[in-house]
Formats: sequence, C-alpha cells, structure tokens
Amino acid sequence: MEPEHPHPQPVTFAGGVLDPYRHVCAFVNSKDEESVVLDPFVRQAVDAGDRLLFLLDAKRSAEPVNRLRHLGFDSAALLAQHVCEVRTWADTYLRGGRFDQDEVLTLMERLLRRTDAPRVRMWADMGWAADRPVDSPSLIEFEARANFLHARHQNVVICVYDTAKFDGAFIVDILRTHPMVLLGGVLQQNPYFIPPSEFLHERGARERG
Amino acid sequence: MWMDHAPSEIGASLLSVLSGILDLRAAYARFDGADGSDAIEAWWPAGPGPSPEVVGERAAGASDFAALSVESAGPLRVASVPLTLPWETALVRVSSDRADFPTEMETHLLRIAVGQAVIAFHNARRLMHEQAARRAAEVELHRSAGLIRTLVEELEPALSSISGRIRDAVRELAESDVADAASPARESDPAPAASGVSSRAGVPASSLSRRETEVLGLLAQGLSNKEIAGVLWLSDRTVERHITSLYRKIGVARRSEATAFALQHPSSGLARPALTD
Repeated sequence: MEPEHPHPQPVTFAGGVLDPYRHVCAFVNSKDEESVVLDPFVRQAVDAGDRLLFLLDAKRSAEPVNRLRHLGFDSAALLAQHVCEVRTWADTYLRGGRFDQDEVLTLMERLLRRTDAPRVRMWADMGWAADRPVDSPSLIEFEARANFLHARHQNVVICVYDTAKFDGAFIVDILRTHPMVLLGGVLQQNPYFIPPSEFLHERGARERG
Repeated sequence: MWMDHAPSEIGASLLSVLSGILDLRAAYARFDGADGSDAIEAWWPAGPGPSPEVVGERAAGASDFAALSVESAGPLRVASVPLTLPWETALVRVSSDRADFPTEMETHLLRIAVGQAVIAFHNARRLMHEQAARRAAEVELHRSAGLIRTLVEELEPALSSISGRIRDAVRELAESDVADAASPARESDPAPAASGVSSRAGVPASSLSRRETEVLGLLAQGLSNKEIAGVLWLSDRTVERHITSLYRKIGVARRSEATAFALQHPSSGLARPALTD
C-alpha cells in the first residue's frame, strides 16, 4: 500500500524499528520504566517534526507537558503549534462514560488518517480498562479490528498496559492482537500475534460454539 | 558409607563390617583428634571392654600409613593397622584364630576400611563443630533480637509522641496559611485575588464547572497558563477567566493555594501535582 505521506526515517522505539508494523502493545511495570522508553521517543518525535498524541487519565494529563519541559522543549509553544496534543479518556475511549468500540474506531480513523497532517505518534494509556472488566471482550476485539485501520496509515500507535493491573488471560489476548510488543524495555516483533481476520474469526467461532 | 553417622557410630560400624568380612574373633579401634583430643574407642564383640589380645597403643614414631603388622598371641593372630593423618590418628587391631590370617586380600581390605573410616571421622567431627557453632550463633542472635525488641518497645511511645507533635505543628501552619489568604494577594498572578471570599475549608469542589475542574487539575500538576491553554485548546484569555472564577469559588488567591486545595480534594478527580521539575 502506498503511504499517504512518505517519511524519510522509520520510527525507532525502545531499541527497535517500527517498520513495517507500527501497532505496539507496551507492557510497563513502573513510571521509571515508562520514562526510559518514552523520553527518547518524545525527543525523536519533536526533532523529526512528528506530532505527539497522548491519550491519558485526566489526572495524568499534565505529564506529557512536564516531560517536554523536562527534556528542554518549550512545551507551551509545542502545545500551541499542536505538535503535542493531550486527550483524556473521557474525550476518547470513554465518551459518554462508556466504551463503544465502533465510536472509538471512528475517532481513531479521524485522528490517524488525516491527509494534511505530519506523522502522528500516539501513546495511549489503556489504564481505563483496568477497572472495567465488563469491557475487556469488546476492547480485545477493538484492538484486533484496529489493525485493519493501522494498515492504512504510517502513524505509530503504542497501547500501554500496566501489567500489574490486568489479569493474565486478558494480557494473552492483548498480546495476540498486536504485531509488536514492548516487554522488559525491549521492542520485538510479537511471536504471538494472530492476523486480525483470523483472530476475529476464531473468536466468533468460540463465542458461537 | 558413613555420611550421616556420628563419630561414635563410625567406630562401631567399622568393626562390625570388618568382623563380617574377615571372620574375626575380636576387634578394637581407637581414633584421636590431631591434638589427641576427642578420643573415641570401639570394640567388638560388645562387652564391658575389648578382648585383651586386641587392646594396644600406637607405636611411637609410627609413620603416616604404617605397614600392617602381625603378631601372635598364643593361638591367635593379631593384625594392627596404625594410621596418621593431619587431622586424625587411628589404630585398629583385629584378631583371628586362623593360622593364615591375614591374607593379602584381607590386608588390602583392612587398610581401605580403616582409611575410609578415618575420613568419615574427620567429616563427622567437623560437622559436629559446625553445628555447635551454628547453635551458639543462633542463641546469640536470639538474644540480640530480644534486646532490640525491648529497645523498640521502650522507645515506641516517645517516637509516637514526637511524630504526633510534628503532625499537629504542620496542621497549625497550614491553617494559618488559610487565614493569611483572606488578606489581599501580594504576588503578581494572572488571576486577581477575589474579595470577601469565604474560608476554603467550607467550599465544595463540586461547585466548579467541568472546565474549571480541568483547569484546576492541570494547574495543580504544575502547568503554566499557556500550557493549560495548549492542552485544553483554549485561548490564554479563556484560561485566565477560568482561573479567576475558580479562585473565587474555592476561596484562594494564589496558585500554591489552589494546588493545596486540589491536593485536599482528590475525590473530585483533581490531579496530583507533577513530581518532575
């Protein structure tokens, strides 16, 4: 598929290259571990002229701004220029207080498939799902379906899961829906990834059976 | 063979093995530690003492692994095996009523058995000493732990009292800050101080609008007005207006007080301030 905006340099993240797959599930255990991979990712984004998009808990919505400042950037200017954008869970995954995968996919399409924008590096904290086990099946299906969308753009999407907050069965399913995984601070191609059409077919058969 | 045996058991076991293999009339064994301490004797057959023909002492000047010597004691043949090692000396004497005792094979077996027994003795003695040292260390540890426990119990009331007084002092300081806030603001601040404001403690966070709550949260996390405007896609002027309004509603006059208010109302979903920078 021809890229809409050919970019000269593939994105590197946690020592690995995000090419050709750019949909990552990042398992982190602590803020320090997060900073180790996020600081260079943010710095590279600003230096490359990419856009940063953070999807976060409202209580942590200042963190990306503080991180930019800490890295020596004029955070207010970057925000004003929309080089960095922060959206809360209430604005994205939980609009109206609930998770609707179709609505979120539509939103993602709008955010990630704009033809007049520079490359986007999205960092999505998925902690909102930790206290909503009822949404787990829908979220897993959403992650699988999102791969169809992500195959049609060149942007980077990193879904961050705190392993301490999710149960093992959920993490296994999440692993199966992401072609790249960050584990132990190292990025690698995910050997457990199942192509979305196959994954969704299996899932549908399991639910019917 | 004698891995878990106590030293006293090794001697008896050695003689039992020898008597079975060599068809003996009597046997005697003596093991001494390097300095002559920890002497252990054993004899076979069991009785109040060893048979007289096998009782003996190591000959003075015996070399490390002295040649087996054989002597006659009436109709009996007595074989002696002395053994000297850096950590142990041993003497094993066995008697038989066979005229051809000991044969070459029996001599060989005797030497091997005695050698093995001496090594086992050494290991057993060392293990005993280590166990004794560990027991002594455990007793000392237990005693020290008891002392520490007593010390903690004696100090705990005093430490609790001190920490309570520190907490009270912090609370009084915070309350006096609130009282000072009722006077006009002294430092420059984008939001001018509200007048006739009520005490902060009595103002619920729920009186703030959704936007004001968002602005307060970001402000408490250390963002500047421009940064808040950038995050919320608002103009600087709009942010200033929200700040003015929320200051008035929560009864504060400066940023630090607004941050303190946000900290004191975590249930309203307001953020904790940033820990970096």
